[in-house]
Amino acid sequence: MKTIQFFLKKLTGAFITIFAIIVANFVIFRIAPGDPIRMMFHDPRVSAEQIKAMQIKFGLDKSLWGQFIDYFKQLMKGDMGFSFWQKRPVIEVIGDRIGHTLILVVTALIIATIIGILLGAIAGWKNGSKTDRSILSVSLVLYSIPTFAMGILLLLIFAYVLSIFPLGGISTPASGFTGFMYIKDVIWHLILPAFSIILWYIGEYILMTRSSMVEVLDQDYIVTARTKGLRESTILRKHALRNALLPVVTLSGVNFAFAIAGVIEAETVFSWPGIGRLTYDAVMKRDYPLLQGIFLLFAVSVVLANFLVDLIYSRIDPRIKTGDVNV
Amino acid sequence: MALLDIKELKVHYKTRKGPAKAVDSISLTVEENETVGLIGESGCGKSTTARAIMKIIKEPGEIVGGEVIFQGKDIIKMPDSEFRDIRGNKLTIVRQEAQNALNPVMSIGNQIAEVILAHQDVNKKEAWSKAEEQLDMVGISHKRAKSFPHELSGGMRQRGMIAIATACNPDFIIMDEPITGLDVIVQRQLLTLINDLRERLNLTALFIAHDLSVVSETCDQVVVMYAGKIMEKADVVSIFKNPLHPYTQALINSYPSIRGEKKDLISIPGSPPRLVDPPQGCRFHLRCKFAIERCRVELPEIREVDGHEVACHIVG
Repeated sequence: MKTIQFFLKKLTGAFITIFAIIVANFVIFRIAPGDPIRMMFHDPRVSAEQIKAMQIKFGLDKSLWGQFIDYFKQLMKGDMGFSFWQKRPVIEVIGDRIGHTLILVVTALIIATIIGILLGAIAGWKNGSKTDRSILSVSLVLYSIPTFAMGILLLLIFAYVLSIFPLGGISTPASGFTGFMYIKDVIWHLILPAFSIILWYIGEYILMTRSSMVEVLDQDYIVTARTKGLRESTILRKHALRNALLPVVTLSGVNFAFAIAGVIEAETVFSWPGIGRLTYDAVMKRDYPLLQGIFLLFAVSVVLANFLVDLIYSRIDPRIKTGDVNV
Repeated sequence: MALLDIKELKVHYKTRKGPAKAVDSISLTVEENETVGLIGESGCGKSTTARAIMKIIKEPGEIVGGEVIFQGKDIIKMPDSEFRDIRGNKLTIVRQEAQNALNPVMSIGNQIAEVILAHQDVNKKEAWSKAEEQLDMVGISHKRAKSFPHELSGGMRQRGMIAIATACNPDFIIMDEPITGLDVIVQRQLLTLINDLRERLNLTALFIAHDLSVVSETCDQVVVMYAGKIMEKADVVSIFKNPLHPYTQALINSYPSIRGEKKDLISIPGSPPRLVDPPQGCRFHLRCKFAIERCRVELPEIREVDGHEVACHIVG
């Protein structure tokens, strides 16, 4: 199959999935208990006429199908509704926060991926050695400590006892920092929350890369590479690692997608004003439109990440395009 | 001087019950431009011998003794950095079942070019065109150079392996059951190719097989192995016409011949001994119908009888 064909097929798949998500997202919030108008106005003095007027204003008098058409049309225009709690458009609320989350997630995952793959590859290559056992033990410990526990631990040691890092937030309030000073301030605030995520993901990447490496090293083509008289470093790089990283690429895609949703813990512990914290607040405030918007964002990010993984995979594994994979 | 001279080679596999002596003090020589066939049942140590020569014995296996002298130098004691220049270059191997022997994410052309680049002073472009020549030589069109292993048939992959093994004009090539696991038509085509290349490239080879008919049409000398020991060695005509060792006889009797007269096939009773604690005396005596008391206690030395080298008390 040609690359273009493969690309189109995957793209169509992604669009269909996103549409299905939009439908599901719409339905879930219609099934959810509670009347949205009642939730906006908790005041019992609001009269029945006023409520009726509000229902008409928000289109809630229409049939479910009619409501869906409205929802879909507005979504296409980039309108995700109006947050009850923040009293402004959902898209604005999310837009304010998404950048913060991306800074945290992207930084943390890039660092975790690089270190994790490196250590995992070394451990797998030296399978059974002392180096391997040390790396393996460390990664198991890291992998078994949940992000929030690690976060609290880091907070306690580095922020409270040693006072090297701030307790939370994204920047020093009312500091008046601008330009480079501001960036430095953000990085200073970023380190602890990032590490609470990094440490867990390093554990995951090490375990994954190591086991994949061990499996690959047992393959026949590694013996072939040896019988060719290649240098060990060449065998490691061109034959072992290249194949061992295939499952790790999949893992990375899934991680990036879920991390956007999954940093709720880290963001809550460190009061990081990102999407994760926003989700937590939206749940607490029963802000359905905001939650609906956030859910859609999470789901679409998962689909997009998978789409990207498929594209990358087709570049690095020639078997993908023909569907002939027996790994 | 022999091109390859194996002296008292011992390869053991560590097991919980002690070492399994897969190759137990075997000695054999291969002269230049000669093809030596190494035959025997599964588990007799023939593939282990091949791997030992290439130094690709996997854990828990280990070369515990002996010498493998290739072009005058013992490669067992040779440091890896020095052996690397010989392996894949002057000394190569085609292993059995090439299904997974090629890297799935590298094109066949690149996998051939890689070995050329590793051993010859050429640039990438020259290596690539040499790789294409190699493909043509083994009967795969050079247009397929950019194909990946999963796009090639089993026979083509094995041809690819042969192209890799012959890419640097080796002085010695080990064929470790190169046609096993393929269907008979492909086997025939590959055998023709191998014989053709052997003549064209003047190859010296160690040909490992369990199929006597294959050996009979490829080899000059035949070595029969049983339970890690060499039983008999002779030239190919003599070993089939006049097998001396009871094991060689049994092996030939258990194999159908297409051209020769119709005969009843006689299977060898029993099974090969366990290599952890092989029987005392001759390794074959438990299954040998001629065994005498001496066979049970004394390990027979290799002697020369009628131009054969044979390890048996009752022969001669």
